[in-house]
Amino acid sequence: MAVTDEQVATLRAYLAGEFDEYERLSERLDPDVDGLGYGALIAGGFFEAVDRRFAGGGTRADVTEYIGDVRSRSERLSEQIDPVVAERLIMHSLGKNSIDDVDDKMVVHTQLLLLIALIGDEQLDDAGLDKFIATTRALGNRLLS
Amino acid sequence: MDIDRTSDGTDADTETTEAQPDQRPAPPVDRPGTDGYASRAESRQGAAAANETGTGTSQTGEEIHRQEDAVGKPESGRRAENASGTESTEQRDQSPGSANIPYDATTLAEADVRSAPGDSSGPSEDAGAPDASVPEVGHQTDGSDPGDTSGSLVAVPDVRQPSGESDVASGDVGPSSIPDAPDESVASVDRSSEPEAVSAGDTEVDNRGDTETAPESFTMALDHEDRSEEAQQEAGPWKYDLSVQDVPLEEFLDRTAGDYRRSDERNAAADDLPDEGPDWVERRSDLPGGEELRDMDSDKLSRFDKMRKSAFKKADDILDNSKEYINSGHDALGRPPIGSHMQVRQAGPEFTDAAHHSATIGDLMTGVLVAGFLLGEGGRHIYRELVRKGDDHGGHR
Repeated sequence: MAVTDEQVATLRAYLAGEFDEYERLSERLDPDVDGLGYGALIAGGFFEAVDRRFAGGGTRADVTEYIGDVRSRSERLSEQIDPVVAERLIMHSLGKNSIDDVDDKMVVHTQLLLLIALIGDEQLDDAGLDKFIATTRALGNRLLS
Repeated sequence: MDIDRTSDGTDADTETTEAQPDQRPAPPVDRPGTDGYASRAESRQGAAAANETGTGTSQTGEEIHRQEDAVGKPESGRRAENASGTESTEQRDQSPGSANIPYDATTLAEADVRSAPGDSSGPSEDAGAPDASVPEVGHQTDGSDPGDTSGSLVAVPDVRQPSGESDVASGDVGPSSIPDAPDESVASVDRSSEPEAVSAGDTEVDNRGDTETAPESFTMALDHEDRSEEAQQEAGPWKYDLSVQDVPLEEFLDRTAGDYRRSDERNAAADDLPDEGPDWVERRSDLPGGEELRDMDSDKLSRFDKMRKSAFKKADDILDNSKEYINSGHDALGRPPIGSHMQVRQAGPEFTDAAHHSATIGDLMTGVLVAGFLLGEGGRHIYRELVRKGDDHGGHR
C-alpha cells in the first residue's frame, strides 16, 4: 500500500486553504480504503512541519507557547485542541515522550489541526507547498512500507 | 474376518485349503448308507485324520461339534435354510461377528495371516483337494442323506477355511498358541506374504477393540499403498481416508473447515484471485524516489522511524467528518470561517466617532465650568486694572 495521488491532492488543498477543493476531493475518498494512507500522509506532514519549526533549537517552552497561540486563534480551536495532547505530540515528533496512551482519533485529529496551523505560519508559496507535500508523501510511504 | 477378503465364498474355501494341497490327502467320499462306501462316522473320522495329517492344525470331531455349537445352529437347520450349495458356501464365508461369535484379537490376527497366502499366491495354486471338496458339499447339502446330521460337517471344508473363526468360536487357541504353533502353512505364509502388511494388520487388530472398523481402515490403507504413484498423486497427500460417524476426520476435528471448503463464497473468492501477484515494479513507482528522504539527516530519519509506530493512525474518522475540519482550518490559518462576516483589519490610524449635535449634561457642566472659569478670570483681571488705576490717581495727588 502506498499514498495515492487523490490523498495527496486532498491534503494539499486543505493546507493551501482551498477548502472548496478539499471538500470535493475528500468526498471522493473512501474512509475504509483511504483512511490508512491519508493517516500516514498526515503523520508524515506533521512530523516534517514540527521538524522545520522546532528541531533547530526549539524548547519545550517554545512548544507550549506555540500551542497557546494556536488555541487562541479561535474559540473552536481552543475547544478542539487539547494542549497536553498537542504538546506531547510535538515533543514525540522531536524524539521525546510517548503517546502510546493517547486515543488514536485524538492523535490524528490534533495532528491535522496543528499541521495546518504550522503550514499557515510558514506562509509557503505554491512551490514551497509542493516541496513540502512531496516530502510528506515520501514520509507517508515510508510509514506504510 | 471377511473384511480382508475380497473374494467370494468359494475363494474363501480355497484360501484355507490350498495351503498344503500336496501334503493333505483328500477325504474319503461321503456316501453314507451306500454299499461300498463308509458310513457317516467313518467318513468323519477319515476326514479328521486327513486334516490332522495334512496341516497339523486339524480339528477333531469334538472341535467340529464345538464350532457347530458356537454358531448356534445345527447343520440340519443350516442345510434347511440354504437352498443350494452356493448359498451354503456364502454363509460359511460370513464373519464371526455376524454369527455372534466372541472376538479374539489374537485369533483374528492369525486369521489374517492365514488369509494372506490366498492374496499373494493367487487362486491358481488352489487346485486340488479344496476344489474337489466344493462339489461334495453341494452334493451333500442337496440332501443325499437328509436324515443324518451327525457327520454333515465332515465334507464341509469351512472347518478348515475359517480356521481362525473356528478357533474364535471354540476359544481353545489363545494368544500364546500362535508363536508356538509349528504350522507349516503359517510359516509358509509368513515367508510369502509381505512383512509390512502382516505386521500392520496385527497392530491394527491388537490395538483396537473394534472388530468392525479397524480391519476396514487397515484394508483401505493397504489398498492405497498398493496404488501406483500416479494414483496416489491423484488421490492427494492423505494416506488414509479416515472418517468418524460418516464424517471425514478432517471435518470432524474442524467443523468450520468443511463448511468453508464447501461454501460458495470460498469458491467465488478463489475465482476472483488474480493469477499473478501484484506488479511490484509499478508499485515501486508509487514510492518516492528517495530524493526527499535522502536529504534528511540520519537523526531525523531515526526520529521518524521511532515515531512511525505510535504516531501513525488511521484517518478514517477525519474523512468521515471532513467538513468539520474546514472551519477549524480557517481558524488555524487566521482566515474567517465560511458563513461569517468578513473582518478586515486596516493598517491606518483609527478615528473616534463624530460628536453628537445635542448637548448633554456633561457638555453643559463643561460649559458651565468653562464659563465660570472665564468669568472668574475676567473679573479678576478687571479688579486688578481698577486697583492699578486707583493707585495711579492717588500718587499724582
